[in-house]
Amino acid sequence: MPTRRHFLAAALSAGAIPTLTWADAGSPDYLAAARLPDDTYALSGLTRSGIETFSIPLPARGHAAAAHPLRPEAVAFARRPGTFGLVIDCALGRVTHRITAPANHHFSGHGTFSRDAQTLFTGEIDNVTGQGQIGRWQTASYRRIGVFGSGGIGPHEILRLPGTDTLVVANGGIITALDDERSKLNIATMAPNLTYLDAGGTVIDQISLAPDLHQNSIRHLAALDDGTVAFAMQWEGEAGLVPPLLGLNRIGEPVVLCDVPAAVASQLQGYAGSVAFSGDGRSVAITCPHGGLLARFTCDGAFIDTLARTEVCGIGPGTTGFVTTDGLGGMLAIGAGVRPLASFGKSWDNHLIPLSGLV
Amino acid sequence: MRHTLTLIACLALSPAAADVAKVIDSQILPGYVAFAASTATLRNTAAADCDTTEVRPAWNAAFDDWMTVSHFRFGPVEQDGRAQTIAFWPDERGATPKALAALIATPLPADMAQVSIAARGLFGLEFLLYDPQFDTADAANCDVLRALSVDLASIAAAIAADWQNGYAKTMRDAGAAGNATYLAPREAVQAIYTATVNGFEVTADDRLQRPMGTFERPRPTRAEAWRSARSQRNVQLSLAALHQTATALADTPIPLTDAALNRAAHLAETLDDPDFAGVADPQGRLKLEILEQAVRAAEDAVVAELGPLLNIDAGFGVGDGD
Repeated sequence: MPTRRHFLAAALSAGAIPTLTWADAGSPDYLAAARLPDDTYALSGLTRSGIETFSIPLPARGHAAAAHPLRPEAVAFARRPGTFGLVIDCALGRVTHRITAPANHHFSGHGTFSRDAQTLFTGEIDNVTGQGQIGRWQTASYRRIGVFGSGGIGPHEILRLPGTDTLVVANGGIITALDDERSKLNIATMAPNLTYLDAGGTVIDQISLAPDLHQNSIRHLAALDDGTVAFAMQWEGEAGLVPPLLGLNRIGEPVVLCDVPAAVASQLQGYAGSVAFSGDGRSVAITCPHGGLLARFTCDGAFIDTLARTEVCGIGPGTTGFVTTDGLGGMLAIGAGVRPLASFGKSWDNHLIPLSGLV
Repeated sequence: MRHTLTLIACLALSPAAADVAKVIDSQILPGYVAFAASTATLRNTAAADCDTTEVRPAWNAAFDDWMTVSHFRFGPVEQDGRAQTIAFWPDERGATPKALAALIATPLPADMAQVSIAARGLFGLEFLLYDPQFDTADAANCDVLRALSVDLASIAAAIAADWQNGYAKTMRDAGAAGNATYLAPREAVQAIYTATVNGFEVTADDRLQRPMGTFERPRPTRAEAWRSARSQRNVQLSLAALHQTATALADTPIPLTDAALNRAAHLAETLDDPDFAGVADPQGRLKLEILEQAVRAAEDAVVAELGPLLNIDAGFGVGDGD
C-alpha cells in the first residue's frame, strides 16, 4: 500500500497528473465511517468480499459520505449538527478540500453528486427554523455555486435517482436544537415529507404521510434503477404504537407502507437506522439497531423475515442480497442465509454507502 | 520487567476471564429446561381443571422460571417475537384485556400464531386467572385458558430445544470459522454482558420507575403483574437472576457487584409491598424509590467492575437518532 501511494505521490509531484479512479483506492464497493479502538475516527473503503481497501483518519465522528461517481473522492460529513465536510482523496489518503455550511446552517450529514459528477448536493438545515435547503457545489474546486429549498423541515438523507438528475430528499420534519442532547423542538407538530426535485430545485412531486403518522420521521433512502424509492422512518410518537418503518414510492404513484407482524413490530422499537435494496433488486431491507434486527420485504412491500444481528445499522446491496456492517465491527453477507465476511477491530457507524450505480 | 508488563497488558485486553460457557451451562440451559417443564405442568393442570385454585400455582411456578432467563434477550427467544409473546409487557395501551376479550368472543383459531400477542403468554393468562372481568368457570374462558397454556408451553419447549440443538454451540463456538452469529469470541461475551446491563434497566425503568409515575400521580396499576401481586417478587427474582449471570460471566470475585446487589436484594426482600400498591402513599413511594436507586447502583457496579474485566466498551450508539 505505501509503495503504491509513494508511486502515486511521486507521479503527481513529477507533474504527470494521472487520472485517478476508484481502482487506485483498491476498488472498494462501499464507504463506511468507523470508530477505532483508541476512540479516533476514520473513513474506510470496503469490498463486497469483506476486505478493507483503505482507512483514512477523520478529525471527528463521521456520519455518511457521498462518493464521487468517477474520481476516488469521498465527501465525508461530520455527524449532525456538523458544519463541515471533508473532500478526501481516497487513493492518496488525504483531505483535498474542506467545505463549510453557510452561516446559521449545519449539514444534515448526507450528500450526493449530480449524474455528470460536476455538482455536489448537500443537505443543509437552518439552525433556528429547521428549514431545509440543498447546497450546490462545483466539484472542480468545491466552490459553492448555489442553493435551493429542500421542500421541508429537517432534511436528512438526499439521494439522486439512478440514471437521472432527479433528487429525492427525506425531509424528516424535526427541528433539532443545537445542544448536546440534540433536543427535538416540534414533535407535536412535525410533518415530514418525501420531496422529489430536479437539479435546479423545482419540486417534481411531494409525498406526505397520513395525519396519524405525522410523527414518523422520514430519514433514510434507497433507490432502484426503475425509480422506486424506499424510505426508512423513525417513530417519534407515543410509545407502544407500532407504526410502519418502511415505505416505498415512485413519482406520481401512491405510497406503499410496509407492515410487519405485531411481534416483530415491537422488536423493531420504532427505529430504522438505514435502508437498502438487494443487489438483485428483488427485495428491500431496513436495519433496526435498537432491536438488533434486519427486516426484509419484497419490492411490493410484503414482509419476508427478520435476521438478528447486534447493533446492525449499515446496509447496502450485495452481489444478489445485502451486505451489512455493525457496531461490533462485523460485516455480513445476507442472502438465503447469513455469511460472515469479516470482523474488524472497530465499530462501524450508521451507514454503508455503495459505490456502484452512481452514474 | 518489560515482558511482565506486556503480558499483563495482553491479559487485560483479552476476554479470557469471561466464562460464556459457564453462563450457558449453569443458567441458560437449565433455566429454559425448567421454564419448559413448568409451562408443560401449567398446560396439563389447565387441561385437567380450569379452576383458578388449581391453575394459579402452576402459572406462578412458570412465571418464577421465566424470571431466571427473561433478561437473556438474544438467540431463540428473539425468533418470531417469542419473548414479546411470552411476556407482553409493558402494555402501554391496555391491549391485553381487549385482545383477550376478542379472543373469547370468537371461535379459537387452529394456529395460535394468528392471535394477537397481547392476548398470549403469561400476561394474557394472568388476566384470565386474576382479573374479575374474566371467570374461568365460564366454558369459553376455560377454552382460552387451555389454548393459551398449550401455546405458552409449546413456545417454551421450542426455545429450550433451539438452545440445546444448536444455539448453545453457536455461542460457545463464537469466532469459529463460519459462525455467522458471533464473529469473534468477544461478541458472545458482549451479548451476555449487554443483556445483563439491560436487565437492570428493565427492572429499574419498567418494574420500579413506571408504577411510581410522578409524586402527584403515582401509577400502581402500571406495576408488573400487580393483579397476581407478583410485582415485588419479580424484582427479587430478576435481581437474583442478574446476580447469577454476572457471577458466572466474571468467573472471578466481583466484590463491588456482590455488595451492591446484596443491598438491592435486601431492600427488595424487605419491601413488604407485593403489588406495589404502596406507591400511592408517600412512605411506600419513598421505599420504592430507594430500591430503584439501589438497583441503579448495582447496575453501575456491574458496569464498573465487569466492563473493564471483560474489556467491554460501552456501546457506540449506532441507533442514536441519525
